[in-house]
Amino acid sequence: MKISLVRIFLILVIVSSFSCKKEKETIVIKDLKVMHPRVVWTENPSEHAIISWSSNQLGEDSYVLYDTVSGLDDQKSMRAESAKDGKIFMRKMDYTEGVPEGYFHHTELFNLLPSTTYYFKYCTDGVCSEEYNFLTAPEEDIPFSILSGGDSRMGGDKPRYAGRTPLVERQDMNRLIASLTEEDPSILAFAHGGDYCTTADWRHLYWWFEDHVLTITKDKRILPLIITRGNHEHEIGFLENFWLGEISNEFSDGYYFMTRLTPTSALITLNTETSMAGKQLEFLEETLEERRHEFKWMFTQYHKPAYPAVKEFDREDFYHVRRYWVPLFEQYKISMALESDGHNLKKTSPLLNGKIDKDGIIYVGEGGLGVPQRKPDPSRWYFGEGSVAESAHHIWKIDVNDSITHATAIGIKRDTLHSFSIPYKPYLVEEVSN
Amino acid sequence: MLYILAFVLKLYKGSDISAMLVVAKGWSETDAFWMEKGIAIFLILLAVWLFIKPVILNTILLMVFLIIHAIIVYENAGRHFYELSLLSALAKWVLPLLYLSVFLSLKKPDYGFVPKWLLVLTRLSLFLIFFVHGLGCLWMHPGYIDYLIGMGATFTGSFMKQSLAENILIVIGVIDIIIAISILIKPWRSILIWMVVWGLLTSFLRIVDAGIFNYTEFLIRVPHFTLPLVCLLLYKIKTPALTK
Repeated sequence: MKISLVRIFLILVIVSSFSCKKEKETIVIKDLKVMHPRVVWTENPSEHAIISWSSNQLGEDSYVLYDTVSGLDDQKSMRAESAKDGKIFMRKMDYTEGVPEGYFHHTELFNLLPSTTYYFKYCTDGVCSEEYNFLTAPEEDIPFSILSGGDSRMGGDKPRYAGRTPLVERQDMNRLIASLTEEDPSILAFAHGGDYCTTADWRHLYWWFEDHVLTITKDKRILPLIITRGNHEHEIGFLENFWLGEISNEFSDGYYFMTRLTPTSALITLNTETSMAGKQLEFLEETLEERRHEFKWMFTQYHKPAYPAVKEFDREDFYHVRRYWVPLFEQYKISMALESDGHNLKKTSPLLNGKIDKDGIIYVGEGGLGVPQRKPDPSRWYFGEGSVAESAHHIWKIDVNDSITHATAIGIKRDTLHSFSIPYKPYLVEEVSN
Repeated sequence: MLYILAFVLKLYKGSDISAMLVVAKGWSETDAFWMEKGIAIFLILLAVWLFIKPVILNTILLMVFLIIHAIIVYENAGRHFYELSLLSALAKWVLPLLYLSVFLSLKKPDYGFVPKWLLVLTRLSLFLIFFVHGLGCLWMHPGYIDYLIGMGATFTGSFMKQSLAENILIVIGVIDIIIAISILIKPWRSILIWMVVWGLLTSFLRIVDAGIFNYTEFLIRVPHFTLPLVCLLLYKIKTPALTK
């Protein structure tokens, strides 16, 4: 009996070790190429940004050349060495699906000037990209916009299950982002609500980065990303390719932080894929307690919704968002919550204390950047008058002014699907202590 | 039966099957909806048939469904430690076979016994379930951390620190792994009783944490305590095979 049990156990161990095992393929040394540029914002985008890119060889010297004037060169432009480089982890399935080996590089730029266009090139071993640019966040209280959306998931020639008709909506949405950014220079950043691909393995992320290049404008402006972690980002590829500098903690799956967009507006990014009741809750509480009064407008983004339009309302994870975070949102009067995960267009009625209340918080979402859209259930109690629950690819454009914020859901055909406004409501410290 | 009912309810509410069909296979929402409902009806009929007259055919069909569903969930990704979830889910394919065997041994005295190899497989399944959950604890599954903090808040009114919850998880994880290995060595009565009690408590926790409407998560975990219970009863009864 014991011997047969041990045999069965050993067989299971051996079999499981062959599943998706990384295999060394024969590597042919190619010309070094750099690709997939990203600009990532974290806490202080008026003075800090992270430039990330991929390459097909590791190289020994990766750096970014940057300046406030175009026409970069090695002699005159500022140079920042890369802070983190490495080989992107690949499974057997990644090799099977034919994505090339990749290496990640991340460089932090410090002491930037606010409201300034920075031109940059990223280089590995002297092989440099073309010149791109991005705009830093302002230090003045000026009107601005951000784009918000989630669930890009699939797209392009190589979908998760090869052989069927590829989805191209993700690429179309990316072109829409570029077009919106070209037309409206007040758009500062792109807050992605998570679920970039089916997994964060390289065979998926590679194509997401290929498609992300479509968000770059004709004048080579790259819209900075504010990254949320979704439930399809549990693999190490996410940590390798979306690095947040001093914020990220690879052992605790952090990815929660507050971004100071302007002196009077902030965005708190939370992570529904790590403990919601532990350190993150402490972070949320402390941040709101200490800093809410600084900002007229405080938004929050996270992946899994508190008030889902498609998935089951009573799911544990959605319940946890309502149990642990929503009371703080309501106590500190968050301006609006940006959600994803549901794969539909959603705007709830204003909600407070578990019911519709004109003084409550509006929750918008729910992930329309490319994933096939699901059919929502508009009969749920939080979809009252003025709410939206539709099946449509979209991106939210949030225009923040001094006394009013406009939110517009723009469809894949550049049609306006829905728009609404939130007037500014003063947030008083006395309200909390009472 | 409760386990199959859990699947039926999940399919009714929307499961990984429709997510896979719509997102990965390009089906329309409506077609995926009806496919899920069709599978749910098929499962109900299969479960009723198995309950009334368990035969090898309905047993195999249910086993195949359990295995395919586990693989679909794995392929969909999108959850913590989904590789471990695959192992835990696959461990439950043995349930219909065990049911058939127990039914036959009770209903047909001349059938004889529950085969030894089936009991061994059942113990292996229990090993996988507890080992996988033990690993989840040691790897600090965020959901487990929140269960502990949430439970503590429910009963004491205050939130424990995440570090304390993590330390408790380490203890639980080590115990789970020791229990898992123990069941492989020998089906000690005390180990099986522990498995029944712990399986029931941790399954019921889903309802304590998120409310009664989270009952499908409890039902899906029914094998965590019924499988060791069946094992306990079978070894206690001392089937003829064991006395040979």
